Amino acid sequence: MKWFKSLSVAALAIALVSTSVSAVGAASSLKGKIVINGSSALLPLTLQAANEFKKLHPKVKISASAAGSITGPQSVRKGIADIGAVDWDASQDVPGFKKFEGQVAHKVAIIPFAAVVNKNVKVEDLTTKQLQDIFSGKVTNWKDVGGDDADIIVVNRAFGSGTRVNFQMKALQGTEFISKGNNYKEVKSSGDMKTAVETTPNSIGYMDLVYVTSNMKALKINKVAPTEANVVNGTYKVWGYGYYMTKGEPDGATKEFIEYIQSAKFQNGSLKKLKFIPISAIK
Amino acid sequence: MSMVLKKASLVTVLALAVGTASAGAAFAATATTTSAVQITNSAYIVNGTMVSLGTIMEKGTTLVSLRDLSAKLGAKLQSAGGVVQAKLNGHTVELKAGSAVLKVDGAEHKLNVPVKNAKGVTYVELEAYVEALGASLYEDEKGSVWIDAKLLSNVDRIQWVDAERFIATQENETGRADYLVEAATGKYRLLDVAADASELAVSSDGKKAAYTTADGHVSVLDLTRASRAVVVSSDSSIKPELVWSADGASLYFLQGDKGSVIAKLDPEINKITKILEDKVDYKANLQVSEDGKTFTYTVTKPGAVVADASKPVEADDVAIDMKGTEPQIYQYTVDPSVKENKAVQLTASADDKVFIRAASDGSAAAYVSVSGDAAAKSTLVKVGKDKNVATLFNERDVYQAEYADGKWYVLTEGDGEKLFVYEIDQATKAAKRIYELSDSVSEIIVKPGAPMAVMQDGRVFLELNGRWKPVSR
Repeated sequence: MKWFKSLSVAALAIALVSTSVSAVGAASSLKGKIVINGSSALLPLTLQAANEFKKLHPKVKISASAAGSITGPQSVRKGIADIGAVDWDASQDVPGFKKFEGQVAHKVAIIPFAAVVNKNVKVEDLTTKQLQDIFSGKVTNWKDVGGDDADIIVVNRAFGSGTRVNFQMKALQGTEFISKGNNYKEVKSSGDMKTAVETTPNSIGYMDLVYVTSNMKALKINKVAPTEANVVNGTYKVWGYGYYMTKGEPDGATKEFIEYIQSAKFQNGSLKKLKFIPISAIK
Repeated sequence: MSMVLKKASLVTVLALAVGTASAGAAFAATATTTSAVQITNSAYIVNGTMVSLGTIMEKGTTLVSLRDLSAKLGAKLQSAGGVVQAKLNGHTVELKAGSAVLKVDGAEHKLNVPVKNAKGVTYVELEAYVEALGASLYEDEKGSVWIDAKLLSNVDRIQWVDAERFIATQENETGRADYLVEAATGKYRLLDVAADASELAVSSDGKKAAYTTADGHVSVLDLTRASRAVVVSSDSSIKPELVWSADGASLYFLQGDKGSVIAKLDPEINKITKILEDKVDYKANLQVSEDGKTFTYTVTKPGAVVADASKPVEADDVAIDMKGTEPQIYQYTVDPSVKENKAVQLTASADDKVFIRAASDGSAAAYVSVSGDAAAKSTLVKVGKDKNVATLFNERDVYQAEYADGKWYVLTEGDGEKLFVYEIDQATKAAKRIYELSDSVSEIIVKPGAPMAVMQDGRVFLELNGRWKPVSR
């Protein structure tokens, strides 16, 4: 017996439809287990969403871990995770990584990236060409791009980093990085990148915009400052989507969790609070 | 009437209205037979008040006296050249006796039964007319029909502010809107909340709401009057959770994208003090004792991953160990006399812990324990400072638990078609079933002194004297 009867047949039909929709979302019915692995950048977002989701669906158990983007789709392919969190669309080929066949990419957030320099660097702005030349090792002195006469120290993320893939695709438009030399340094995490750029004079690196600190300088690229507003208005191009990868189309609890993280409630509330940009901000 | 009603008067007002409604629930009161039609005086609850409206039943459709309903709803009527114009909620509805067309803001809507004139009174299809005016209509399980001129629509969630008011939140793609709603009348006003605001943290006296924005700033809104939100901190660090102190004077928050630090903000002087910085990440569900000294929260440990990056990507050389990733409850008590004071882990079990609520003196925490075995019942349990776990309620599978004034209210599995709500005395553990609800109810919302609120199919209902009054549509 239902609580509320509707007056007309039309209204009753609507009531029944909405009941069946909400039955999926009802506090009670959903059960399951979701294992999520991959991107470190997306882990705070995943755990925040999991904490909220469990209040709606207490019977769904969510476990999350992170060890770098590439381990996300790898774990899904291996069958040890239901969701692979990754900072690029792993269903497509990207620089350094072949696509993961049969996996479906679900956008969950927009992540802006910034080119950053040590505070002693006088340059404020670089063009795409200048960035390509610096990160490929063609330009090695700051004076060639409007700065002081000093060697440029390039700090790069290690192979497998989602930030590296995005920076290479969006800021360098696919050109290759240098990979060795006295003025080249490779770091394993965003935290190490932060330390390296903050403490190494004449260094240049890149990171998620959210990790930029007041002890370094974020560069304008092609005269556009890396701000959330410039990402949204389309003028700043160095950003990427964070994705959840699934083996085929998801179902059950996994599907429901992905829908929750993509929901207006989460995207406009908790996701912004954690300084990501909602996927709906860019059409 | 002042905006803030005392709980007693709220209940009395509605009890009167609803009391009469139940008497008239059978619909028909007096019937007048004319040559062609039978006019019936029927009982409806319009804008929360029991009224009698003239109705005609034709082709299975209820027609209502235009004049009667418009007056009760507060719709303005004008008549010219045989066309009647009704205005409400910014909508203009035009109709004409004998015509099966309702013009709503200029657009034509077909009626099942033409507008009828009987004994000099105009009758129009009840449901179509109510909808055209942007009003709402609801028939409850007892057969009473609730008609409200202006209810908030598409409410996604509510939270009680005090015993008389709640905040209703609408979510949409571009942002959200928060309204302060008077429970007794359904009257609402839009709150000044930034589009990128976090969920509102309401102080326990209901006077203030706080939120953070994408830039990390904290704003406070005075709920006692219509006012603009005031930025009380321009600190840009990420603040995943905000909690008011019991006296509403300061705010506590988790800091950093991993919620690693517990900090305190004094809004008056814009000063932030770190309470606990122990490098333990992913704290959540922060609660602060009444004396502001004991902090109860959960810690979630991410799983351990072993991956060899030197192997080819195709080798998928990844192993994940999710053991011990269930949230655990921790407590930290500020005590300068203790050297190297550390947080204490109260739980170590492998169950999921949801709806965590710490006692106001920090002496214990209760939560819904969800077993890893999906077939097992979820139970309400309590853990003390001594780390002993005791069951408070395990009669039925618990879906949700809320706490108010020494009592737990749990939404549980029912008999298949219904859900049950139990009230459990925290001290004696005595449990009594207080409601049977539709299985499409998704949430209960409680507050001391306030009526029980439920969300069902995206609508909010309040319990008043055994009836569920719709307060959103």
